[in-house]
Amino acid sequence: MNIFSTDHKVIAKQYLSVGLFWAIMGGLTAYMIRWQLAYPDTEVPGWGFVAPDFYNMLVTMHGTIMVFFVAMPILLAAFGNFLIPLMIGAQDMAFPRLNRLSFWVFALASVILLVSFFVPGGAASAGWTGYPPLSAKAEYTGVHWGLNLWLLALALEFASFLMGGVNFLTTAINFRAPGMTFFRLPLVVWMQLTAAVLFMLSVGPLIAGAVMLLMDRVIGTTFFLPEGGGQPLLWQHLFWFFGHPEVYVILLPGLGLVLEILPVFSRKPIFGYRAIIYSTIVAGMLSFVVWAHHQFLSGMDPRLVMPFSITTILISVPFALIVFAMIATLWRGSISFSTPMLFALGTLSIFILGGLTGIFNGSAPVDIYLHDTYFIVAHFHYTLFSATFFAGFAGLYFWFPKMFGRMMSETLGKIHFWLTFIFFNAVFLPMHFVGLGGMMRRIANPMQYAFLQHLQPMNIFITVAAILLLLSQIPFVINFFWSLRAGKRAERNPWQANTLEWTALSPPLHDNFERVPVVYRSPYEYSSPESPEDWLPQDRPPAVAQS
Amino acid sequence: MSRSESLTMTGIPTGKVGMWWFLASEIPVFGGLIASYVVVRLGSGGWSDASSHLNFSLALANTFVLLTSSLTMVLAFAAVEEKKPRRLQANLLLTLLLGLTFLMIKGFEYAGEIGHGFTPGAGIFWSFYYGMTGLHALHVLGGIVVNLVLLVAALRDTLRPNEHRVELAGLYWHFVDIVWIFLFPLLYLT
Amino acid sequence: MTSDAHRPNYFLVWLWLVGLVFLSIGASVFLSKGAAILLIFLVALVKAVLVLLNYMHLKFERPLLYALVIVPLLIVAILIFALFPDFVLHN
Repeated sequence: MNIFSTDHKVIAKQYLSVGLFWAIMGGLTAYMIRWQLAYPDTEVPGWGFVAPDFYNMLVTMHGTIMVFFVAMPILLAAFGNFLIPLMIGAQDMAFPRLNRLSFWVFALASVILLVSFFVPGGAASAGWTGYPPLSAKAEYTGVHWGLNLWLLALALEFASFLMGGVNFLTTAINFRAPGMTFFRLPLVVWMQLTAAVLFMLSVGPLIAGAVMLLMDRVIGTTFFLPEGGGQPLLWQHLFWFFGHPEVYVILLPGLGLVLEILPVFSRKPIFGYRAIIYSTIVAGMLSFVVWAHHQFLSGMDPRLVMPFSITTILISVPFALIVFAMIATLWRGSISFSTPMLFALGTLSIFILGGLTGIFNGSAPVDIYLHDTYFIVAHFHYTLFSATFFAGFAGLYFWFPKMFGRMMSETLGKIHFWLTFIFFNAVFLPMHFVGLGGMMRRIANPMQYAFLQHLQPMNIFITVAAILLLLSQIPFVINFFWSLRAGKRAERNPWQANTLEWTALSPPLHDNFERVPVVYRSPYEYSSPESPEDWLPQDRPPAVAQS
Repeated sequence: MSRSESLTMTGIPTGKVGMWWFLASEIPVFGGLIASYVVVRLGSGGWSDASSHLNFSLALANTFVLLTSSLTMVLAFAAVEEKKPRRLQANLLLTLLLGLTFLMIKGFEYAGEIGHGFTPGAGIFWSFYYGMTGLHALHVLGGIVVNLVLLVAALRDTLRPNEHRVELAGLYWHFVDIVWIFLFPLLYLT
Repeated sequence: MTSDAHRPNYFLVWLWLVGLVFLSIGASVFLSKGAAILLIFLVALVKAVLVLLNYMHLKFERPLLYALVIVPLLIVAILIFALFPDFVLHN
């Protein structure tokens, strides 16, 4: 692949490749974590013994990898880069060379993170949240360079996505094709833009915090070290001030992909287009004032607890609206259960469950019991896995023809879906009960605790299901690579969808469109009386009045 | 017209939209650092004895240096619009020199403080002092590099058709000046 | 671009900026602690606004661009506000 290409489609695929690589690494860490939990202090097949320090590293890197090196590059960078210019009718991004640079910086961040596994002391092990004082002094974790490199990799990743954010926003603001008003933009674009704004405005305090933590570790400052007058709690605020908007940064693009796919396979317009947009904006704004719900038990001022509980419960409202809009879109639609549609429906159903448990967690009195248990882990895997993997797969199966010019196998796709759906729930549904039973997060050996031993059969069940979940991805890998070579050649618009990317060739020309598109209508006019077919592309002019 | 100068859907030049978004994302970076400094300082008794060891005169000189460099930077931009290449080059050069002066004075300041034992580990005030001024100085350095590239292009007469970049570099430079407008009183006047 | 509007007098703005620096120093010397701090930060705000409106030409730009300055500042304000209980108002 040409690493000097400034073509947004090429760069998107580069981000996708790196993201998929890290997904495998994230899956491997999950495998080792689950084995250790089910069969503590036995040898992990294919690896060996997992010592407690190493276990801490595994959980740390699993979180870091999945959030920053899988979800962000695939959902935001890959899909955003590929789709935004095509969907708005542009030839490329506003700043193609900046786009190029953003991938190089991300690739550098990846290399640094990879290297951190091999330095003496190993990779970061203070949790993906990196709380000081544990993370502020090398002797507390035994990890010296690994944590410094972790901070450096994150800083570079943030820089890369800031560059991407500038590009996405400027492109969507200035490079829309004639007739493409803001309220004719596909929801994918709206969601990507909101995510970009959220990221751009929330990452600053964590960049400040990361600089402070790195300085504490390397040049002896005491921002977070109490013995030097520092404040460990400050890190938590700075981290979560970004951390909470960040989960919506990851979630929104996935929701956007689903919102795009549902109308196509229901042959119906999206229900509540403007309401969805306004809800998304409200949710985005609210996301800046909920962060301390991650800190109810941190020892922070109790007077903060009620306000943040209230805002947290409030934020469920706009998301509920979006979920209802999705269901209403399906209602009485002419549903076809293609692989993308299955994964979109999977995203919706799993996300609903994740959202519901979020309401429990947001209520502070309940969180006193649930915090730092596996209930929380189950909650965020329901929300994040659906938004990242189910939605990501939905998007990949849907846009694969446009990206690579070939069709994927529906049979393998359906097998992949059902296996993933069944085993995902087999892993994470019982996990709620394990958490309710009192199992804490981040412990390497539950059997050490008498009050947890009765949960061990469930832990073993979860581990077996997790291994099967990982193996269930094999049909996808086979499908992906086989289809790249030997899939049926795709036509321009295999799904008969309305958005502009489907008017381009599959895959598109370097400059995307043979002629600059002109947009006349919204993206969701399916089953419209104006058209003999059940779809009506955005660039079809209105019918000339018959005289 | 080059790509990032194009006027499109909104009528705002693309490069300008991009630069303002970048600056919007930088505000919470310094904002986060400054917010932390303010609350931790207010909560721990003031740190006035620590801050009294700062070199006020050097910082005051630096304040004038940076303010003046903002003037020369915007005069460089005006020279682009008035199509006066010599004035553009002169003002870019002045901005560059003033920026370098800022860094030199800052370095001199650091050397003095460290010589007196006020290292980054000398206390929480010093952590924030080095953190805030260090991050700011890195941004000044970045701006110097950008301005140097522009100056070289201007001298070689290869800046056309990208003269709008002077305005964009100016926006960044003024932002860095504004950060110092707040850092100076926060650290040296309280 | 911004060339069609009246250009601000950049040198006059510079004089104001310099004068305001001296005003701040005077405040720190002659006023009580509380009053000095208030004045000094008001002055800093005025200086920042002068640079924003004149050197960065914000007063000649579309209102949309003002949002790019104001919204991040609001976000920082939210952060400071929420940090007060834990770091300033503790017992």
